[in-house]
Parts: sequence; C-alpha cells; structure tokens
Amino acid sequence: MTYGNNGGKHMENIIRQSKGFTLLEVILGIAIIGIISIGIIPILSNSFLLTTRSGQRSDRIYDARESTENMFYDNSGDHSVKIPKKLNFKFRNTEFSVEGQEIKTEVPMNPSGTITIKSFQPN
Amino acid sequence: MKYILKNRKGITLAELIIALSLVGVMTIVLYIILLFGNKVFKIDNEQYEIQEELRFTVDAILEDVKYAKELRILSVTDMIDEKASSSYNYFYIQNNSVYQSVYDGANRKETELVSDIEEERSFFAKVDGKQDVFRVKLTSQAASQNYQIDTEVKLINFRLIDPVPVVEGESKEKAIRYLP
Repeated sequence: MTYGNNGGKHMENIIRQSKGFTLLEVILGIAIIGIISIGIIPILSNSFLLTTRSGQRSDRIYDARESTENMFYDNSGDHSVKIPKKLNFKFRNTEFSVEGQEIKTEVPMNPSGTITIKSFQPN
Repeated sequence: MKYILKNRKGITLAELIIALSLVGVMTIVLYIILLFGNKVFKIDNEQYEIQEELRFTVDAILEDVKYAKELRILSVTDMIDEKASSSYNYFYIQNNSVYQSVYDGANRKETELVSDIEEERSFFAKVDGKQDVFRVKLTSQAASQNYQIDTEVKLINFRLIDPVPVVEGESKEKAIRYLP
C-alpha cells in the first residue's frame, strides 16, 4: 500500500474513519502493559530482596557459630553433629596424625540453602 | 515518501490531543516506575547500612568479650558512677547508641560504635543455667527499616581460670564491664 498511487486516499481513510478501538483491543493493550511492568518491577526491587536475604544469612551465621561453640564445649549445639575424624599431617619426612572429632554445623536458610561450618576438636 | 513531504495538510486538533494524552499516560506510568525504583533504592540503602553497622558492633563486642577474664552486667547508672575511677573496659547502650569505653592504663577513650539503636529491644544478658555464656541482643532502627542480631558467646578464658568465674550482675541490663 503506497501512498503515491492512490493519491493519498489511504491516509485520508485512516483519519476519516470513525471506527475506534474495540473493548477487546483496549483490554489486550492494558494486559500487555501490565505484563511488561510485572517484568520491570522485580528488577527494581531485587536489590532490596537480596539485602534482606544477606541479613538473614548473617543471622544464620551467628546461629551456626553459636552452635559450633556450644558443641565444642558441652555437646549442646542444636544444629551440630560430631563425627570422629583423623587428621594426617606431613612435615618433610615426619608424618603424624591427630585423632579427634569433626564438628559439623548445618543451619538451614530460608527459602533454600544451608550455612555450613566445619570445625575440628582433638581428643 | 515524496507524497508525504509534499503533503500540505496538517494534523487536526483532535489528533494532536489524542497523541498528547497518550504521551501523557505513558509518561505517568514511566514516572511511577521510576519513583518506585528510587524508593526501593533508598530503603535498600537504609537496610544495608543498619545491617552493616550492627554486624560490625556485634562482632566487636563478641571479639572483646570472648577473651574476657571477668565480666559483669550492670545498669547504665551504676556504670556512670564507677567508670571515672575504674580501670575496666565497658560497652553500654545510651541515648540510642552503643558505646565502647576503653581504659589504656592512663586515659579513658569513648567510641560510638553504632547509632539508631532501639533501646527497648536491646540488652546484654545472662543465659539461664550457664555460667560462662553471655548473650547480646541489639535492634537497630532507621527510618522505615529495622534489623536485629541476637546471639550468645562462650567466654573462653573462664574455662581456664580455676575456680571457674561466673557472669556477674543483673540478668538483663544495658551495660557490661569486662577485663580484657
């Protein structure tokens, strides 16, 4: 459809025609704008979500540290378990090993993931 | 294309009004999104700042208290009374801030660690049934955001001293004194 051949009749038709948008078209348009803004808003608010999550994370780290310390001194860490473990060291030609327990602390994170701290306690 | 350039007809008022109102609607929507982004950025900054400051403070307290040889929980009024003539170090919550007071043998130095502390929800405390565990809870509040750290610490040196000392003083207060 080129304008040159029909003497501008086509353009005139577009302007003169009294048809508006149908309700369906308007609704579709609004829906598309809505979908696009739903896509944009998380980009804007994501940083806040991440900051909040890092706050929860450091909270859980304090919990894990507390639990590890409790386990170390009186076996009362809520999130910790003790696993027997032997550590082997080698200095030049001398080899020796230390018997002890590994203290493993796992604190669940919300909504997913865990904070893990591992520590060693010699016998 | 040639036709469009030679076309002498203008735009009708109705077309212009419709176009302007469409531009207006889009501008409003974009402006609202911009404002929203700005607001989120601002509160994000507040949240980040109070988290950082509170973490720094709690770490400083835990680090110092963990290796203390003596620890007493006391009220701020008692602390002010004895501070001038004592050689202990102190942490205390006053005027919505946490302060550290260090005595180096000759002079006493006061440092503000964090401001914006909510005093009703912040304290130093004993832990029930445990003699060598110390609890600290600090709540920070700035503008619309708040953040809270509540943790316990084992007093390592207490184990090595015989007879084992205990955490002295009130069960919940706003000040502690310790011997590094």
